[in-house]
Amino acid sequence: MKSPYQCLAVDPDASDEQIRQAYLAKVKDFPPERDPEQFRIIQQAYEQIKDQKSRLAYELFHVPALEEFEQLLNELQPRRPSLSQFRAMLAECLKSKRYGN
Amino acid sequence: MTAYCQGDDEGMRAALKQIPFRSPYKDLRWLLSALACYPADPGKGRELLNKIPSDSPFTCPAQVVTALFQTPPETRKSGVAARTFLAAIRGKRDQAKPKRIFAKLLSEAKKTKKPTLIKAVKDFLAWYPQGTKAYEKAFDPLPEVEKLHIQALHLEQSAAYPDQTYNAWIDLGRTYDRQGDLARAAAVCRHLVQLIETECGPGDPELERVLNNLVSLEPGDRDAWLKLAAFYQHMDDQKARGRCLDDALKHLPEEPRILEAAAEAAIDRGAFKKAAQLTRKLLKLDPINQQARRRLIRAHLNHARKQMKRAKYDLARKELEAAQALAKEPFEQAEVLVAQGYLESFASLMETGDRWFDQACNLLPVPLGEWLVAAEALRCQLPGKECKRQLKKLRLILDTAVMRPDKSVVPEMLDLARQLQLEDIDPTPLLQAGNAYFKKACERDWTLAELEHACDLLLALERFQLVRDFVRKSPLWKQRPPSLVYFDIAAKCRGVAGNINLSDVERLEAALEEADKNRMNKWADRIFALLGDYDRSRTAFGAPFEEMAEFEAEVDKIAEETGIPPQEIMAQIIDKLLGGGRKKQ
Repeated sequence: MKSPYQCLAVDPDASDEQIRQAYLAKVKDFPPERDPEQFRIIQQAYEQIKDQKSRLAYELFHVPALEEFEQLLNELQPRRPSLSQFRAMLAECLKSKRYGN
Repeated sequence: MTAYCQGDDEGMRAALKQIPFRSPYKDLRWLLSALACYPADPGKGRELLNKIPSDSPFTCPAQVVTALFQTPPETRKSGVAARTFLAAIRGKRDQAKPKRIFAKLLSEAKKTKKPTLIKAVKDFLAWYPQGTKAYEKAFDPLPEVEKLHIQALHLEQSAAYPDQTYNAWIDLGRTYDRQGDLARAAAVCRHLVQLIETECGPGDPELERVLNNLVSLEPGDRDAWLKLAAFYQHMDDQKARGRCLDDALKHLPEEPRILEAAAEAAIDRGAFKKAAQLTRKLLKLDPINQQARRRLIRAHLNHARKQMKRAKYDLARKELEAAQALAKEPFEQAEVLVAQGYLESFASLMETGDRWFDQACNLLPVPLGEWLVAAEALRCQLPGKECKRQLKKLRLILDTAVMRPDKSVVPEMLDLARQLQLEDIDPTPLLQAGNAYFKKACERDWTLAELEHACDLLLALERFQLVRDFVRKSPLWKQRPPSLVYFDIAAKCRGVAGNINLSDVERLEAALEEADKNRMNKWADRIFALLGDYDRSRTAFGAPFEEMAEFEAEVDKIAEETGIPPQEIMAQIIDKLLGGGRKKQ
């Protein structure tokens, strides 16, 4: 569950200009043609905190979805497959590659 | 792999570092490192997977793992073992239970005392306000305003009664206001505006109250001023609209959007001098604003017309000179020339006037120039004889032009007629003269966008037969696009939804479905509005359910005051309405 501040790697008390600079730097790192998904996330984060008005709206009216909280819990206690499940997946992949599927 | 599967990421990284650079297992490093990024950092995960070359033996497992970082996840192409593997990482997709999530979050936050986690627990109270006491016990007590905030968010989240949610936000806004936190109070007002717009539409009186409150809290909020002006425009209160924009200009004197809106409002109420003054200011700030330039020309032309009617020809000439200095496009130059021609006609120099008209016509394709001259004759409300002369001239030109109608001039001709209509000038003589030309023009090869624009104008001008001709003669009609179905039926019922028959209602419903499916929101909205008008026309009262609810509320109130059962009160009211019919029976 990343806040837009974390997404753009800026402090919550950063100025409009600092946020803009951080956004431009991130866009440079993840241009839309290379990583459209990450670009979308960066853009959305910027829209949420680009000026005082949006920052206030984010603070007062943004409620993360239940799935985001679940994801946070997952991050705290990550789920992992068993070693046999991992091996089975690798074996299946290698087999399908060998038979050209 | 064992370290990863046991959740020992440090151990995994240490083991991966030992894989030699030339080892065939080197790409396993990227695969496992990417897996360890799930779910915290999907961007980095994807980046690491992209490092695996296409000829690597780990390409296929990398494709499986990529599915973890996709939204929505794409796993249909994977094998059984791959799906099991992914499911083990992702976990079951059960319906999340707020109580369970809250308990887990709280215990983690209590254990680690991390500020981000404590904030997450607080944020989660919007989903689970029952946890407030547990939060306060574990951390700090929440101030009253925070509790109000949580309550409002919870009500909005749980889609409670709109009134309840609305009142909760109002309470919060008032509390911020009392505490002197004007920025937050204004933010709440902005949120309320959104709620009203979604729930009640643009003409709700509450909108005016909240917007006025918002601009008093934050006079620098440009959008709030513009919304307030738009509200007054919607309510057709030009005086209040002008006053509101004048107030806005006191706070934001150099804001282009406010200047634009104020100039538009001034034109709408006939204050052309003021409109010109505002637009000049706007052009100083934004010299390449084409719209502003056109608006300024329009303001000068309108002002000149006003002076012509008052026989103040010198003043009119000055206005036209100002318009001419700004006119760049052929159409704009032609407009000024035509107005100059009429100025000479007004000043009884008819021959000079004709010379201006000829010059204007030479600038534009046939028959647009002649159409412009005739439209201006109607606009200037020239004596009947002169008007007839211009219309006769136009008809002669159109008789020849009808052989080869020019598709590109039709929208401009219709735009001019629509402009007259908006100025309360009847464009019928002009449209009657052009009827045959338009009928022939509809046989040309129109794109859907061009067709929609032309039909929109024709519908607004109430040329219903022409709308149907344009729609039905188009080869695009075979595909029955929602927009054309809408125009066909709207024209068939001659703009009166009550005239729509049942089979057309079915066609509209099918078109609405199609528009929704293809995300043609504009057309879906218009079809929906037409169907709404049709529904309303079928009932005796405007909105029966709303009125019934109000009626029942009144009956309940009387019942409470008098102690008479509501059913009895209802019966008595019906008796009264039927003139005591029940007793007679």
